[in-house]
This record gives sequence, structure tokens and C-alpha cells, in this order.
Amino acid sequence: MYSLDRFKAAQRLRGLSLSETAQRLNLKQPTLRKYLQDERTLPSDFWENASIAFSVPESFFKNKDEDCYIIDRSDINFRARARIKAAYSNSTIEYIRLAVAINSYFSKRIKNLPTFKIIDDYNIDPCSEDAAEVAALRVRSEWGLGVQPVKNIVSLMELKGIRTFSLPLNVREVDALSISIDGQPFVLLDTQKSAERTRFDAAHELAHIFLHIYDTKPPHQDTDYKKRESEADRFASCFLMPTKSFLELAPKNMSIENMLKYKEYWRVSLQSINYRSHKLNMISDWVYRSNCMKINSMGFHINEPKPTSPDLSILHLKMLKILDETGGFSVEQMLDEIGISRKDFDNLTFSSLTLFEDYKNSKKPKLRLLA
Amino acid sequence: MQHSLPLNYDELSGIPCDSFKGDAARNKAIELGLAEVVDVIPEAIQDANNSLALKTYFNPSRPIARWGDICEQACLRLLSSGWKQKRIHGQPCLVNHIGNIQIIFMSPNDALCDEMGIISSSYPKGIATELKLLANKSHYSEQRFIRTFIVYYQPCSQIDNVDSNIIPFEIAYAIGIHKIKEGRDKSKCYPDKHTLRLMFNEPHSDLESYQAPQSDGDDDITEADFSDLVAV
Repeated sequence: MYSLDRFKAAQRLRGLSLSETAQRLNLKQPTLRKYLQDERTLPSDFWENASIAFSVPESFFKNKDEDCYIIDRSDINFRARARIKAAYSNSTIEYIRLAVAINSYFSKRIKNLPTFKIIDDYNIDPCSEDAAEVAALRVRSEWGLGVQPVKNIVSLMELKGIRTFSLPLNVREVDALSISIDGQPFVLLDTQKSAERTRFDAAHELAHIFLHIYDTKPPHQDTDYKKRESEADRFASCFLMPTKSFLELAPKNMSIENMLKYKEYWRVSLQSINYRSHKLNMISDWVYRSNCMKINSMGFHINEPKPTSPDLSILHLKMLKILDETGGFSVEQMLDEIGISRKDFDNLTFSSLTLFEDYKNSKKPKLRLLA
Repeated sequence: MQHSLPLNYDELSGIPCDSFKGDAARNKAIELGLAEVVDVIPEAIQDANNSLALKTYFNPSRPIARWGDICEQACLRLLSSGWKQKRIHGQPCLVNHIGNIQIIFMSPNDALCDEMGIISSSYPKGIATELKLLANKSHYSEQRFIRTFIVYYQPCSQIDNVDSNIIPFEIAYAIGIHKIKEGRDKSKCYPDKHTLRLMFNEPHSDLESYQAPQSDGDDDITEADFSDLVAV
């Protein structure tokens, strides 16, 4: 049974207004309004047309288990909360629902998925100024990362039970977000930005998961949000570049040229290296500001110099392979059951479907012409 | 007062001066416990020059700000080697108590790295410098007594005229002053009677030489890390 609430969810997913939706459905706006208010019987091809208009399968319009989760905008840790338009946050909420639906699909079919364990006691003074840094080092220690650079933060988070997805909504205001649904942490990352930026965003969201997501006292004021964001930035900086080894391995002369070499080791942005060097008193305020000006004048704040390769998901592809090995697995059936389009699934799971199909094609025996 | 005549230093000052350049200067610096100072001074000057470049000529305190930046940058780099910054007679000095050494910074006359010229400061100095240099009674290598060395760095006016990869500076030891004005508060003098000059005028090659570390490739997460996963 299709639901008009799901129709509205599709509208939010695509960020379409009533007039834009009516235009796509070749309907007049008052007519569509009457349909949505249940004042007029829906035509027989309504759901088929809606499926085309929103680029979703018809099964999207069926009521789902995930709809029972009330996802409020205030529950989501957005990096730039104040600047996000309602249309973007509504669309994001629908993408979260899709991510939850994907997770639910795999959870029912695959055993021993990694589970997330929160660290109960960080042994830190919450009033201390370096609490975020101490927490970052504690997480590193718990996860056995030592002081080496984090190779692939996306697969690391997957391995530690954090459901990690890529966010298809490519807008400047939304970099990344994290949320806990029924105790399960989810992170959605915008992968259209530089790989260094995505890595920092992932570490930033990790901070929210460890420091804020299970906080019993949610923030109410803007200052609380700013404090949380600042803490998350410091956590991310320390998580990606732990203090001790950053100091030990750093060049004596923190010039832009040397920072360019050094950033390749940690796989972070040039700005992050400059920021961290300043925070650790390796460079003075003057040099920091001078470097910021140079970085901007060279355009390095927009186009990252010496870019690193993007961190890729491993779990999604692995799960598709496992289901495929059982026999009788159909991608189309999976998409239909989840109620998601092929493109949305691919965009949410770091192109896992494309990679899976490449993998399948590579396993097909190649035909040879025998002489 | 400018000491810039290209004449024999010993003849003019009346006191023998040990002058070293290049590797010899570096070896002497190591011998005197000044090796790390030699390492960090070019970087400190370079950072200070970067800050200087942000200021226009309309800023009347450019040179003094550069002097402050050099002191700061050198100090930041030397903190981990046991050096401290202290104000002695109101003058900021880098102090190493283990080696009984203290360092003050000043801009020189045009004899910088010219062994035939007579090195001194470009402008007269006050009572704080006078007291320190007059206390330099021992030989520059006598570690039992506190000794004040002067770091003469390239003046602002010469920065744009030289190859930026060469950052000339000197570490010198003076045991006297040339007084030009008497009076405790108003005393003005130039450092004089240098008995040691370590001249560094080679290309500063740290930018080219730094090699970022390589990370280990054996701890990548792979599908094998998810081998527990099984279909229901």
C-alpha cells in the first residue's frame, strides 16, 4: 500500500516545492494539493508518474519500518548548522532514512556486523581545555592505532561499528553529519570535496559520536553548539595528527614548502598542518597568519595541493559479495526491498554497486574464439 | 659610528680575533655548545622575514618587529634543547645555564660576514648591552663563566638585495664597548673588541633537504578484516 506521507518524503528527498513537483508530474498545483490532502482520488498512473518524477522506485512509496524513527533536525550533528537551509536539512533527513533502510536490509541478512562500543570513561577532566585532545588519544589507544597516520578513516569507522555512508547531497553548507538511531551511530560524509577535507570531516564526526551524541544534556544555545564544534575540530586534529609524533616528525622549518611535504605523510590539508603547527606553538601567530594569507593567495584553500587519494568504504562491497555468494541474490530485488533507486544506493554507499558490478564482470569467464 | 673600513681587524681593534667561516665556523660552534643555535637561526630569520613581508614601509616599527620575531622564533626552536628566554637588565636574552651561555640579537653594520671589516651593531646600544659585554671577562671558550654572545643578523635594508636562499649571520663574542655617550640611563655604546667571529654565509638548504617520513604500508584495512561476516 502506497502512502502519501512517503510521497512527501520523496519531495523532501529531492528538495522539491509543491509547484516544482506539480510541474514534474504535469499537474496543476491546486490539483496536486487536492491529491495530497486526500480530497480527490488518485489517478491510476499517479505512483508510476511519481516514481519517474522523483527518480525513485515505486516501492519507495510503501510505508517502512524506518519511518517509525523520528529524526529531528536538532538530533543531527551538522557542521554548519546555522547556514543550512530547511530544504537541505529535510533532504538530509530523508537520506538518513535511506541509509537506515540499507543498514536494516543488511543487518537482517548478515551476521556478525561490527558493533560500536562507546568508551565510558575517558579519565579526563571535562573542564580541562585539552579534554578533546585527550579523548582523541584515548580513542586512538582503544582502537590500537598507535601514533601512525590513519590510513583509511572510512573503513576504520566501518570496522569499529559506525555505519558510514557517503552523502549524495552536494551542497557547500553540508559537509558531513552524524546521528545515533536506536543506539547505532551513523555518519554521512560529503565525498565530493577534497579527500583531505572528507578525512577531517570523518574525524570531526567521530568526535561528535564519542563526545556528544550520547550526551544526556543536549545543547540548547548557539554557544553550546559552537563549543561542541570547536571540541570536535580539536579532537579531529589530534586524532589525525597525534601530538607527540606530529612534533617528532615535523620539519624544523615549518615553511609552506615543508608543510606541503609533511601533509602528504598525515594525509591532511595544508591548512590543517598550518593550524596544528600553530596550536602546538611550533609557529607564532604571525607566521600562522602569514601562512594563511599565502595559502589563500595560492588558491590552496580551494584546490588542495598534492591531493591524497580518497578513503574508500570496504564494508558495503564486502556485504554485497557475501550475499552474492549465497546464490539467488538479485541487486534489483534488493533495491526494490529497500525502496531506493540504483543511483541513490550507489551514491550513499561509496559507489559500492558500481564496484560490485565491476567485480562480477571481472569474474565472468571471457569468451575466446577457438581456431 | 660605522665600522666599515676593509682593513685588518686585529690592527684596528688592537686585539686578536678568531674568525671562522663555513665548516670551520660550524665546528667551532659545536665545540662551544652553539650547534643548535646555528641550526635554528636561519629558520628564525626566514620566518621573521616572512612576517616582515606582510608589513608595508609605512609601518615605522618593521625593523624592531623583525628583531622581536627573530628572538621569538629562535626561542621557540631552542626551548626543547634546554634554552630559555630571560630578560636580563630588561634586555631579552636566550640563556643556556648548562653551557653558561647567553645570546643577544642585534642588527650589524655592513661588516657582516666580512672578515676584513670591523663588526659592530648598526645602531648604538644601551646600558643592558654594555653591562653584558663588560662582564665578558673570560675567554669565549671558558665554560666556567657566563658568556654573552651576539647574533648579528642581516639588516632589513639588505634582505631584498640578496639571494633569499642565503641568510647570512654571525655569532660573535665581544669583550668591550665603544662608548659614545656617558650616563647610566642614557649610556650609548657600540660592541667592540670582538675576540671571536663565526660567520655563516652559505645557502640555507633546509627547504630542499627536508624529507617527509614514509608511513608503513602493512596496516591497511582490507576485506580480510571483515572476515567474521557471514550470510544468515
